[in-house]
Amino acid sequence: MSEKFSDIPPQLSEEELQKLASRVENDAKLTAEGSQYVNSGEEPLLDVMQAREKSVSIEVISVFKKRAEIDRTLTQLDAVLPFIEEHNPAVAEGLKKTKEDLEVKSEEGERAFDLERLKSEIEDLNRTVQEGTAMSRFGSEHGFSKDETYAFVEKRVAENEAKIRGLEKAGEQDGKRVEIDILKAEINGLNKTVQESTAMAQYGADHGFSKDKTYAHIENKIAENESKIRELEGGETLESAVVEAQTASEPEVIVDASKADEAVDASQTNEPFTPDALVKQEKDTAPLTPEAQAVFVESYEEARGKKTVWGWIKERAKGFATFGLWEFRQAERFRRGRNNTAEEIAGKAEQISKVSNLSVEQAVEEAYTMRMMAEGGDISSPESPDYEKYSEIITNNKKEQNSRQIDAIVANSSTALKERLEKYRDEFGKVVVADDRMMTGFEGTLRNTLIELQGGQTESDTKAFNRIIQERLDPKYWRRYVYGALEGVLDAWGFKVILSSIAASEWWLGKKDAIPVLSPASPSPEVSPKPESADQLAMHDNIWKTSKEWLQNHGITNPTNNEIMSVDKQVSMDNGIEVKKWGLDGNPIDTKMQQGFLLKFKGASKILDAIRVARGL
Amino acid sequence: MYMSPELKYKITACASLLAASPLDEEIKNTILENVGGMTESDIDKIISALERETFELSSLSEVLTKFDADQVQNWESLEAKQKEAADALIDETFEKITTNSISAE
Repeated sequence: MSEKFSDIPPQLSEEELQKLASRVENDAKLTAEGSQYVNSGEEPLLDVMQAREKSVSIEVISVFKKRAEIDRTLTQLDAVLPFIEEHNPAVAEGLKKTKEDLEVKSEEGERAFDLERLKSEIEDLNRTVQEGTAMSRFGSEHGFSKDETYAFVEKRVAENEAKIRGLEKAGEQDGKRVEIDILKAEINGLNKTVQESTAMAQYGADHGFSKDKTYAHIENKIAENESKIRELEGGETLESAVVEAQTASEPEVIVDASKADEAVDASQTNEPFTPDALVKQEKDTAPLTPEAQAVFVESYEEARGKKTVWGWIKERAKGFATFGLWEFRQAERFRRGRNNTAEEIAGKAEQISKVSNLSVEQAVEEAYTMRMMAEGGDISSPESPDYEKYSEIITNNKKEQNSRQIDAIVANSSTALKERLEKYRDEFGKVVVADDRMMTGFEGTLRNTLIELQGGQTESDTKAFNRIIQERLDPKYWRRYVYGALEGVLDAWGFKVILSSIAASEWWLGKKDAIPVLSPASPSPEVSPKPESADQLAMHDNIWKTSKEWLQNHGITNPTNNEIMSVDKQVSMDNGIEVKKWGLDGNPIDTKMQQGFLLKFKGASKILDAIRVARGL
Repeated sequence: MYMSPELKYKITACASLLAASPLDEEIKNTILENVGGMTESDIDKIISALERETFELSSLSEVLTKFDADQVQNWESLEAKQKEAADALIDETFEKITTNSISAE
């Protein structure tokens, strides 16, 4: 008999337990801060995205969500299929078919998402040019003159329209491909029917045809389908048409107006849009200019410290700060090994196969349970050793409030019962017995009933929250669909990044001892060298003066106030120092720091780089 | 050196999205330190990933808000149920005591 998850005592190491304790403490702090934040009525700010989302939020986000739901299901299926294949091949076959269908839908969703984004940006740009103040703001934000803004908007709109046409064409081709597949399948079926006499007889009977008429009918039907296929293929191979459409749908930047016109002209005349090879090559291979680098670093610094939607999620906490527990449980499961639960998994697989008309959602949910079991535990079981801890954190405030409520209900009920008995005696002159022992018994029974109800609610909260974690924070999903492109870029530079840990780990707390995200880097030759800066410097007087000194030590003999401030801010953030004027939280506070405090300047190196670039050093 | 408005637009958007991202500082620093080796295609890819991240976080924020609202409502319902349970037990105990008292007489 396999060992049950609930029989296994917690196996967290001392270090993990300490981390957990520290997280719980941090959660409580965030919860308090979160309440303040939420009560303050401040809205989360998304900076660049916020401005765009004002116009894109409904359509684009709605399309994105639909696609994301499909991709999450796909991720879950990917994760569970190996287990199901091992234990129940028949169910696995059905799920594979489901997966194929979902993949088609995912592709369609991706296209719909791109289309909505492009359309939304066009609307946004058109609105910008129609409003004088919006034009000025846009120009000033991007450092464009009025003419440059007009030219930019015009080119960008043309570029987006060309991409939209490309995407729509690719969509049409996909639709044709599906239709052709159906027609071909029908032809195959008809050919098989002709080859089997019983099938032929059945076909004839179904349609009320004689044998000859059945042959003639099938022949006509095959010829009709073949003709439709030729028509759909339109004289060219479908593959070439799809490739062409996909090429046109790739993001393309047009460097000058004449090329933008070319692109628009080409698509308007329905001729294949072949991107300028030189422009594409430049876009793919030419590194950014020093000026572009400086703009990047400057924009990044300007945007830092602004409120973000993530900041809002983190601040409002209320138990959401418990994502860290996910990490602990994952570690636990893997440590416990898979073999222990083989029998239980087999049982679960058996259960899946017994359920008729299982929907995709149900199948995925069952399969997810199998995956959890295979990894060593069942987080939805109230018998799980860390379940109670987990529940307490999620529902802590509510539970505390309700426990006070239970005390009040018990006290009030006790008084109410006594009063009622008193009234009863007054009315009927009966002698009733309500001694202390009886009242204690009443209170005990009532308290137990109320606590039992509370336990049910706690369990329900935990399950609901577990579901959110499962659906929204699956590391595999984040890695593939959210950070896939970013991971590719970093990988090309020689950095092996474990982005999967990003979705549910310590990163969000911004802890210094966060899990390593980069493997030993082996930068590719194109990567610019890091500045030869010292990493640490003891503080003299204050961070400002020390930042100035650090800049001077690195060849910036006369740093400007802006340059010093950039370094100061970065150093404060990197060293976890609280600076009220910049809204930075941390410890110690900048005004109460000890002389000689060792400041880390590693993160300021990039600012030094930017200053050097800007000064042409 | 000339920088096209399109590229500047993309760079600004990319940098702002990166600044707002909850990605680990180490990853952000890696990107910043390697801006020199970045191509325009890299910028496109990073924007795409960070926009997706923003959408995901917005969506997560909505789900969490709903969870919060549901939780408040559920605990309020629980309180009502608890009060009902208390009333029922008062009735039951009262019945038991008075019946016992009558039979005792």
